[in-house]
Amino acid sequence: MSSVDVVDIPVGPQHPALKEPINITCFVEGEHVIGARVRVGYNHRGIEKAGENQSYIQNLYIAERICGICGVVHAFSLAQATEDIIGKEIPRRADYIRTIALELNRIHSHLLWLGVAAHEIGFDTLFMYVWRDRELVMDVIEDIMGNRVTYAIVTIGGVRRDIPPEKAERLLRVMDVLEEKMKKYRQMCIEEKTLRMRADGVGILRKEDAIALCAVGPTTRASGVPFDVRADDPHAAYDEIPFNVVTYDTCDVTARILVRVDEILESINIIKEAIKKMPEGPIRVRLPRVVQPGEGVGRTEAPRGEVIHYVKSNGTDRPFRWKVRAPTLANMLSVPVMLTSRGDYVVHIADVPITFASIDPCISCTDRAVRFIDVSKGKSWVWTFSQIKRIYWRR
Amino acid sequence: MTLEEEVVERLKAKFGDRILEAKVQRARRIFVTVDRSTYKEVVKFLKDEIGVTHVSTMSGVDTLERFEVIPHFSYKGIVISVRSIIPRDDPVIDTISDVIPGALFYEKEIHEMFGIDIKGHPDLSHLELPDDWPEGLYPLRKDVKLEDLFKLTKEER
Repeated sequence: MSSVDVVDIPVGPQHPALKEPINITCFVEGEHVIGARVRVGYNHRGIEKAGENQSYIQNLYIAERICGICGVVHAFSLAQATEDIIGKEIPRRADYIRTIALELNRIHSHLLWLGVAAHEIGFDTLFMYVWRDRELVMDVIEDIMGNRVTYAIVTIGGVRRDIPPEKAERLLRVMDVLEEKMKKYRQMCIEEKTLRMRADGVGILRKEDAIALCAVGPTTRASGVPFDVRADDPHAAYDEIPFNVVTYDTCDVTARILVRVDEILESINIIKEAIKKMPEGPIRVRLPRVVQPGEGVGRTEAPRGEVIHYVKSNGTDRPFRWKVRAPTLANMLSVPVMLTSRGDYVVHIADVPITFASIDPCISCTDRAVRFIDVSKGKSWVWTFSQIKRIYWRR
Repeated sequence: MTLEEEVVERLKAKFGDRILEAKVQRARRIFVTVDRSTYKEVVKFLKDEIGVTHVSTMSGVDTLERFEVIPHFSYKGIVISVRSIIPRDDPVIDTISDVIPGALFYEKEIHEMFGIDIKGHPDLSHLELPDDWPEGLYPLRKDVKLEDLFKLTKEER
């Protein structure tokens, strides 16, 4: 292997796994990736600076648009941080409705990812099935929140829409249907050879690396670290709803697939439990538009991992400082580790897309293709993920 | 005694007056204020003695009188925010990435957004801003107005 030249291969910035701009430079020796460097920032929108010039309520809607998939977690975290500063409890029913919104969000996001992952490894049948069933969730989200993508249900002091009994009934019916289907897909993920052959032993992130690099969400749970903000730092109604923190310890892409599939089943149970336990009462309290000086930290478990917002107020209706950290940025440090061959662990160029996709990257949240560098020839070229797929699928 | 109070007590017992302020805001939220000279020792103490391994993020704040760098650590569900105070005319702080490697990207972000020099950081290249971003323009500083940034976009592109 050492006799072969090392090449730089840039993948990106356009059209990586999830059609968002990012650049990964892979250093390759022949077919083997021996190192990688990630460059984010192609999507930086300056939302934190913009937020300092908008009122808290306006920021809530900007926050929801930080991510097109898991927007509700950002609105929730900002609302939580602001409520902490004001120091008022919100109605219990609102907590339950927020929990249902967060969990529906998780289900649709994990289903979306499962489809993308299946597509990345060339298993398009699973991709089609999963995305078809994701529509069930999207429809029920539209039914409850009024929108498919930006729910706009969380507000400072509670939620903006109630879940009436007939809608709760419809939601439960969909959850029953989905549970059946998910059990089938779980079986498929465990038994299907095409999937296991592409995912087993690929994208290894050892437990100690996951801890040291502060990885979050399914990425760290697939490395055997039981870090879940819902369990550790119970917010909304998670303190009253029992659920399992799913962990796997094979540390590879298979583990990340199974963590997410199992989490969907957990989420279905959480939603069922939440509807059963949801108390009657008001859904919001009116809180002052002008927030007293202070600071607050809001965080929740997004589908991709821990989201944390820091808000510092100065007694006006606008935040003095609003800091957002989306989960993908926390997982970005782990990507070069997963893409580095060492000892018996060998990374092939063909595994780059699925390895990168396995952290469920969301570039618009983080900010922000892959460059390959042949080290000995000093040659460098750019491939998009779709090119890699085209080249390697043909073989 | 709750776990939050215990962490605060242990910090106070170890550092005494050098902890300028330590309060438990509510369950699972701790805010500690230190000077930048004590900052790294506190982080080391949190890691070695208390067992903190996870830094959730680092916030920078420009209050116009001073800079603040606030790493938010996560420990058994508690968010420990350690505010370190940096004078505005000498924006330098020690890196904590050698104690907790997960802080590497967050320190880069603080460097490019606030112009705070991170002493001992291995690579302070841009994280989110473009490579051709004008030197010496730190967008999240309070004296940089939105209009200045808008102008930049129009002129440059």
